Amino acid sequence: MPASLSRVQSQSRLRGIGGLTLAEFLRWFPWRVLVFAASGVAVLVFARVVWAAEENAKLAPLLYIFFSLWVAVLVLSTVATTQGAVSSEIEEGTAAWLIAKPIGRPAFVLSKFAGAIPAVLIGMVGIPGAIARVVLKRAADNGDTDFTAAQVMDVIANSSSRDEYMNLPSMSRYLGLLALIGTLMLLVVAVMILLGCVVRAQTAVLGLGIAAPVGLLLVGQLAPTAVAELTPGWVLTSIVDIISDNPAPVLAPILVTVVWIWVTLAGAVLLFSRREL
Amino acid sequence: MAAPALEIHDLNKSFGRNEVLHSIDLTVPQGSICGFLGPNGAGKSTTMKIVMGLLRPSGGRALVFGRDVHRDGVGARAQVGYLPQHTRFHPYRNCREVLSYVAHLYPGRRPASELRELIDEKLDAVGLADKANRRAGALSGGEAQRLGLAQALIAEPALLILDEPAASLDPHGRQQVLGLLDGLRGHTTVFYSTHILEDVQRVSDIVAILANGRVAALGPIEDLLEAPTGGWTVRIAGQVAAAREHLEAQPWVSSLTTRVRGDQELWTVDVTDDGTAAELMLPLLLSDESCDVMEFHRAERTLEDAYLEVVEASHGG
Repeated sequence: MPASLSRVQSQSRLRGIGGLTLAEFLRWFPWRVLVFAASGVAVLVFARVVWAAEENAKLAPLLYIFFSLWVAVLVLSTVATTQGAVSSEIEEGTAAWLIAKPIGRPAFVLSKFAGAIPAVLIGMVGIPGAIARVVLKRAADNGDTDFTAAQVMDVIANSSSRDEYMNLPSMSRYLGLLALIGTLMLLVVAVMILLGCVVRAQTAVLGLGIAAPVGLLLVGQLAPTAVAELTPGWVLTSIVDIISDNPAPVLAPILVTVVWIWVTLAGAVLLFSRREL
Repeated sequence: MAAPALEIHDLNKSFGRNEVLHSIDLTVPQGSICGFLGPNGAGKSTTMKIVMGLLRPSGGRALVFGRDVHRDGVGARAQVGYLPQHTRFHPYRNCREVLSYVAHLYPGRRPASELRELIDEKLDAVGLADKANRRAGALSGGEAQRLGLAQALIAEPALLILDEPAASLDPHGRQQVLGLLDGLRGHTTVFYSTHILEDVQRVSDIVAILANGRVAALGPIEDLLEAPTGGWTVRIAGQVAAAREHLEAQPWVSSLTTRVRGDQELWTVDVTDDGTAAELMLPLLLSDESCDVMEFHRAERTLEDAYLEVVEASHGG
């Protein structure tokens, strides 16, 4: 009896997502993931060498150099890796080839994201983050200071805090930080998928992917001053009062990022479903 | 009654202001092999892409085994194997991996040995068994076409839609593909476009001719070929001038065109009364002893004749 494939019974628009996700997963593992993990470790080594050369016993500068460089490398490498996730498939005609199979268009888009999740969380963030934790711990244990690194988030967000003595953050806070970086990178993946559904040319997707974080960085630098200038004082005071009385939960930034990921993916699915191939 | 393999009702498609398809109606019965003909730009590939859910129709609908290709796209495409005009695969996968990738898009897990057997069978069927490990990006146009055919066949679909399956193939490959299509007769419906009319005449049961975005002809190939031409073919040798004059003088002969073939002449005789011509023409020619009739029969209508007639009529309005 010759072998044959089973008949497709499902009519779901998510049909085929398993096979497509597995294929995407295998595009990331092992080589891309190893490269990302290696680049994270390289950034750590670089930051450690610079920090040691300055004979600075404070942990904060090390954290600052490492996390700011690492996040920049992660964003750029995620953009570079995912710029063709959808756009190259459309441009080269392989999207049409796949969509002519019994799979739903949403399955095609979502598999691009689902296949990237383990690679981003484990390879890009998890492995370098774990190694960084060990190195930071050793730096903290061997230094002649008490390393008052209280808020790693502050270190990333506000360069002035590098002058402060800070404690090495607790494991739960550190994991929270890695989770936030991981979800931010997944948001970058989702945005690149969305751009691929909007813009046909792969190079344009790459350009927009690089321009977007740079633009956001500039806006981030200018926005606080602009908001402070443009917003009436009593409004700012009220907001501060509300925030101080109702501090946001630690997981809030992560949850907000996850919501943005879903909104972005929903937009990508909608656009790709309407697209002619 | 079983639903037709493919039904197209009042299908329209415009790209901006350019209207490509105008109210196409087409039915392909189950088990048939349907050749889809038409000049370049007639809308053949556009029609196929709409059926495959790659393009959205501006109006009308297409059904595959009764399933609407847009409302139930997944269900409809589950019945179809499709070979596009320009085959594209991930260039980093080899032929075996391309087929394995496609196989994994279908439900159920199967042992690796079984999958390998299936893939080998399909690669062998299209003549790519010796190139199983060659990367898709390194295949020639003809080899990519063969791989495209193999991936279209992998799930043994009930309907095969092939957009110019023999376009990039060498004569041997073309014969192989025709043999493959012939072997599918009866259990798989084939709807394919081509410009090679000889192939269509050889393997198709029915023919659809698309011209100017409209179905200009649709029906069994015999019907198209059997349409009367009103002409007769005569091959004659010897002193033929007198015989030609005698024949041209008959009231039922409307025209006589001559082509010289060596020491013989080939006449195409158009007549106004076919019955009288069938009865009187041959005795009249044989009565002239100065010439010999080597061949005498009704002019055969080829698919090319029928195609050109239909397309020219469509252009002429």
